[in-house]
Amino acid sequence: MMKKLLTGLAIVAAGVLCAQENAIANGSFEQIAKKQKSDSYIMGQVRGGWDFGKGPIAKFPESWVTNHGKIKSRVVTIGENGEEKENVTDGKNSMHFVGERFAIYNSKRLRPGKYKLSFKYKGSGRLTFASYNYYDDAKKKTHNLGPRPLVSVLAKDQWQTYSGEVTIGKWNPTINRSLIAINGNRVDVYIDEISLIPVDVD
Amino acid sequence: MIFSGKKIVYTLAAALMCGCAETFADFSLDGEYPWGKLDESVVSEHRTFFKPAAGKKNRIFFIGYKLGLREIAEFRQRNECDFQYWSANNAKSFSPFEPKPLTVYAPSMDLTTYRAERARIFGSMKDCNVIVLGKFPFTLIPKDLQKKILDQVKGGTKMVMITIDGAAPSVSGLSFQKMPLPDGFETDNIPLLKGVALYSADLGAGKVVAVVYPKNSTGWHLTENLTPYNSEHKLYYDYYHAFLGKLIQELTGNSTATMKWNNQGLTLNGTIPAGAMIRYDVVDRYGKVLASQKVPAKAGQNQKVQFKDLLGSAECLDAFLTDSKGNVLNFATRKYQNELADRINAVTFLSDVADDNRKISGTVQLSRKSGNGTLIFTAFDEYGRMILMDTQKVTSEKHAFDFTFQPYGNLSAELTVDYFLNGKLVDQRKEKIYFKLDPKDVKNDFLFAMWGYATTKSRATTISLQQMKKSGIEIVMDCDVMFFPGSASIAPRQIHDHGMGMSVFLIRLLGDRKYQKHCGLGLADLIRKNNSYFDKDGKPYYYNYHTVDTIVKELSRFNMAFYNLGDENALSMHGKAEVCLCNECAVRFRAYLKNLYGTIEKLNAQYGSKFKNFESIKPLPLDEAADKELLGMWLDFRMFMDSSFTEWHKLVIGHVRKYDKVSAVGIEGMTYPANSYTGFNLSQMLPNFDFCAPYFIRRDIHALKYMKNNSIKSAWYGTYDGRMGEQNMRQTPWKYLFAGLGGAFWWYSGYPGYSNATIFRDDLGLLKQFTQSADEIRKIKESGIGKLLIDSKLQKCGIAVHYSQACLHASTLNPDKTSWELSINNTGDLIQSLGLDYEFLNPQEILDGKLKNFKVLFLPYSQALSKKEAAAIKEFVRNGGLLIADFTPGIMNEHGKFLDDSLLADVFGSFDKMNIKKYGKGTAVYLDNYIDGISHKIPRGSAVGIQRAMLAVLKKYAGVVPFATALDNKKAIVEYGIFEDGDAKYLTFLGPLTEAGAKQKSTAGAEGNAEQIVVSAANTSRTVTLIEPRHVYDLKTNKYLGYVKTFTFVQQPAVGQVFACLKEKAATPEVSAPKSFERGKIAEFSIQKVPNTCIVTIVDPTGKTVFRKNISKNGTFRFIPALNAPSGKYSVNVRNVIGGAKKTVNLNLK
Repeated sequence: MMKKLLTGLAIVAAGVLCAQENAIANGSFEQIAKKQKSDSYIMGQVRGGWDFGKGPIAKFPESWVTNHGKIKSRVVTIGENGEEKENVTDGKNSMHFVGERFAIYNSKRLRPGKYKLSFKYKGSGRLTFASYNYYDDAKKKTHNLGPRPLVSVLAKDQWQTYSGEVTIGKWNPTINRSLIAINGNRVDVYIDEISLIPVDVD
Repeated sequence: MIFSGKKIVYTLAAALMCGCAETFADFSLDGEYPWGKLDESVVSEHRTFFKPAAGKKNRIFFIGYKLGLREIAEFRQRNECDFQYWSANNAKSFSPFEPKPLTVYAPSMDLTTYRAERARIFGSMKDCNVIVLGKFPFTLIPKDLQKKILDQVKGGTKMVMITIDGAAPSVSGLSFQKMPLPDGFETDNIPLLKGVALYSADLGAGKVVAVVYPKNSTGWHLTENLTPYNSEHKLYYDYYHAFLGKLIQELTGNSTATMKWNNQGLTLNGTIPAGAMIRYDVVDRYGKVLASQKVPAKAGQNQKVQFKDLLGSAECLDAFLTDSKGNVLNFATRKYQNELADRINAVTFLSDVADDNRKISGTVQLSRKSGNGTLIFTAFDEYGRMILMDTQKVTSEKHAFDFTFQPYGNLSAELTVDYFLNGKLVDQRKEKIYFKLDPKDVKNDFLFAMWGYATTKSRATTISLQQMKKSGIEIVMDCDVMFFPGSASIAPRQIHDHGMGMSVFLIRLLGDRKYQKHCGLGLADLIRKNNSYFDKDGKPYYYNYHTVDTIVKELSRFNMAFYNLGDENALSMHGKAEVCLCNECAVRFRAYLKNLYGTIEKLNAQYGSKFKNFESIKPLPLDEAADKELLGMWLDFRMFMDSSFTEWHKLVIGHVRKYDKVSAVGIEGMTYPANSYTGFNLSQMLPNFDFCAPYFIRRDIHALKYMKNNSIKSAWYGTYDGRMGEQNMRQTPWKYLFAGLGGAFWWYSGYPGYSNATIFRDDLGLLKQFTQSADEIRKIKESGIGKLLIDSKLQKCGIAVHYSQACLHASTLNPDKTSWELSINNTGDLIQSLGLDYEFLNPQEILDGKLKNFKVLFLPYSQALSKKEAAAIKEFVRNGGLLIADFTPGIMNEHGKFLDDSLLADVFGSFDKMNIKKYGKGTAVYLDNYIDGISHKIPRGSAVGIQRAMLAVLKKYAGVVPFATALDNKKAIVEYGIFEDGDAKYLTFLGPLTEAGAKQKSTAGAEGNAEQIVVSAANTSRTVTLIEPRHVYDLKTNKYLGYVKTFTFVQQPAVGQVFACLKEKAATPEVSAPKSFERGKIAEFSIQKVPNTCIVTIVDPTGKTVFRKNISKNGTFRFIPALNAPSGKYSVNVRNVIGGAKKTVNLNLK
């Protein structure tokens, strides 16, 4: 009986914890993937303007996907290339983007609803968080309804924190899933600790 | 997918993934589908049994699958009935949609269509009074349909369940009892019915009867749905259907009388209608009715009929009970008792395959009691020509014979031995004999080959091969023998029976096969070292290496068109994995490095490393090599792996050559050869092959120059790319021909039902997409254009393109500017779009001084050059050559070590876009991204400026000018090809595709990378201007366009057009005929005065064309009048392929 009770409590506790979980994956860029630049997708990105640094391997955070861009992208890791803690706010890594423009998105699907978005950033240039929005028709064909801006901020020299509530994918009732994306224009910007906590989602 | 495996990301990024290769099991609307196509249009040899049948006409609901569906048509040829049928997926699954979804290649329906078809077809089952389950387990039918079927049986329908290979019947709730076999059908006399058992279970007003044939399978590839496995036989196949027909007639009550044999004759019981008759047929071993008698039928005992003077070959006595209108009430059969004392017991051969001299030896074994015996030997080949007629006196009971046959160009014949005693024929035996394929015949003209199957002795296989032959297929590549080595004796005989040659899919070499116990590459050394395919425990090292010897030993007796060492071989499938980092390969890599560098100090100097000795070296994947700054070692390792992969193929070639010294050996369908991890160093690998059929990518087609002379070069097409529209079907063979290939190979004969990855309808009629393509190949051959171009060479324009494996790998190390693949494709496509062509030169060829034969050298992303290579290139420019590079040439050495400066820095001066610099007597042009993406721009007409600029560069700095300029309506440059033979030039124009596929979605595998562009149909006018006037002929219409410098024509979509441009007018051939023209003797002719291909036809006195061949310039040809050739005038017509001028020589055959 006691065992059953404890199990029940554990389930409730797990539910509470789940409710607080970050809805995006790898928001602090701690997991890094290494991909060969000769991979056709990455090569396409490089030819389109992405610069992942020298050498045959491109490093980029797992669960984050490069979209269009003309940008130098670096994973900042404490202890590597003379990096100290000043360019990282959480864990070992942050992301550093320098260039004309970029767009990346997180591959974790989001249900439409209200979320609490927070992130840290510093440097210069404008960062915009947006949602990409989709629905599947009766034939299971996916339709892209395009991006919707959520938050736009101007970076400054010191780390700043954005925190606020955002509504994702509610502007069109057919939307059944969204992704969160980050765009930058004329930036030299560090980003870290992105968090998206569900508040009221479908 | 980069950085994430999530599906949604795939959707977002898919548009960016050019050249990706994923399987889309989607619904394609291209082409004709086999589904539901089963009628009487394909008729095979047969006798009728219950046709016309007495009583109420049965309506039968069949369930069958795949090629076995043909047996429904075979049954209906012999037994009258109406029908409906359901095609299951195979013996193990009801459909690809249920019980669980299965992936189908090129599916012929979607789920909605499937549901509608299911409802329609099973809805019509209610109109049937018989249900036949053709070797499909009742338990695998969906529950709702099981209930529907059983409910119908309860209502009175009869169900016949034919079980799979001796399996007991199983239907939940039914108890089966053994039941007697039908009266009067002596099953013990029919080989595969000996031991057949019937079981029955009553259900309501109906009944379920199970037919259990004796177990007779040899594997999963068996075919038959209704008859026993391997049931093909000239005589007995009919009886398997007669047996089922009789069973069904009796079950449905249509047979009102039973028939039973006894010593006195035949007993009839039941209702015998007035006017009923019994027809007795005696049938010989080969299905021929030797004698027939009709007598009135009566109830009770019917008198035995007597047949006089029948041959010893009489085998079966059949009795048909018919009503007054001739409708069959019942049928009985038994062995015909032949009392002859003198007969042929057997005809045996030393080998049934003639030797290299076309000699066959054997023995006729006789039972002889008296008299003077004579044997008459005749043989007819697969074309009905009599090729042997010989009479011999019998001297003993074992009569030896040997015959040497003339080279009629046949592959099989039926030898008939007639045994005469005192002048009277007493027995007859027929046996098949076979002739080897002549490798020269394989390469004579444009070749049409089929990926197919011929290992089962089934009627469906026979018909499928007949259909292939009818379509013009010359070679069947069997793909089952590899899995069933025991069938190696069956497949070549069946293929040769139909006048086609065989090739074989022998083995598949994959470096990263999951279930492979040993690393395949180390394995090659292991096998060489131990001289065995087996380890010390007797287990094979590799899953099918050890079958190579068994198969080749048997097949070499026939000569193969080619041994295929693999379809889509790869060191790493799709080039995704860095094969092979195992310990065995590490050991071999160290030895390779030691051989390459000699000392560890030299190696360290090259890599900038600090290895203490070779033993401390371990091959690294790219990311680790990058981290440890050992990218040079990584490149060396890839080069080593490429060599290992080549060596692996050479190992198998060695085993083939132990038995077969003449047939071609090679591979096909190389997957992603421009990827660092697939193992293809084509300029190193291809010299070992005399057969290769890559996927049609022009880069790889150009690499075929590294093959041996006179090799078989082709490419596969067909269902694999999902493009089955008529234009695509007709264009592809021309495309292959114009690229310099010697044939078009179709993938694959396939299985009807749920996929249109097949040439067959359900009844083995041919699907129209295949016949359209076959029709175009027939035109290529009959017009002589195929042979004309094969006899010529693609033009040499003095342009070389650097082709370096080190640069391929360097591109993986440093892909920031482009990739080697993109760069080399852009370069090649640009050159060909200008009416020019190029030749690859690899580093060794450059070191060997071959650059002196060229005016231009392109360096496509040639980052890795050796010092010697760079020196040779510099010398080439210094001496007047034109050097053109796109990105960063020579920034690494040949081992991938980045250099401080490009080895060609002084040649190019500065690496700025379109910088042109003189160097010595020559010129260097640095393109940077000037031609980037041009492969896509050219077909869209958006590269005209670049094309004109490059033409100007080539002309100004190298004097390279295309023989002709072709412009379209909008004055844009039109691509064409040029073949040349002496002074003659042949301009080839490939009609573009003007129709996109009908919502085409199916593409799969590495072949998804193959090329297709669709353009507007409106722009079809072409104006061609030559550099000098020529006599111009349109070879498709045989029109002479005059001695002109400019001509115009309308480009037909999706087919080829060829124009001959000659210095002299096309001549009329002269023919030297032989002095004697006799049956069975070689008549040799020679053609003079025509410096190109001629078409030869010989027409016999009845107007039938008995010989047709395209002959090379001033060539000879042989014709042997068959022994049964009719007497009279034979017209030998020799027609010039160019212009059509014809010479006819008439010969009289007495």
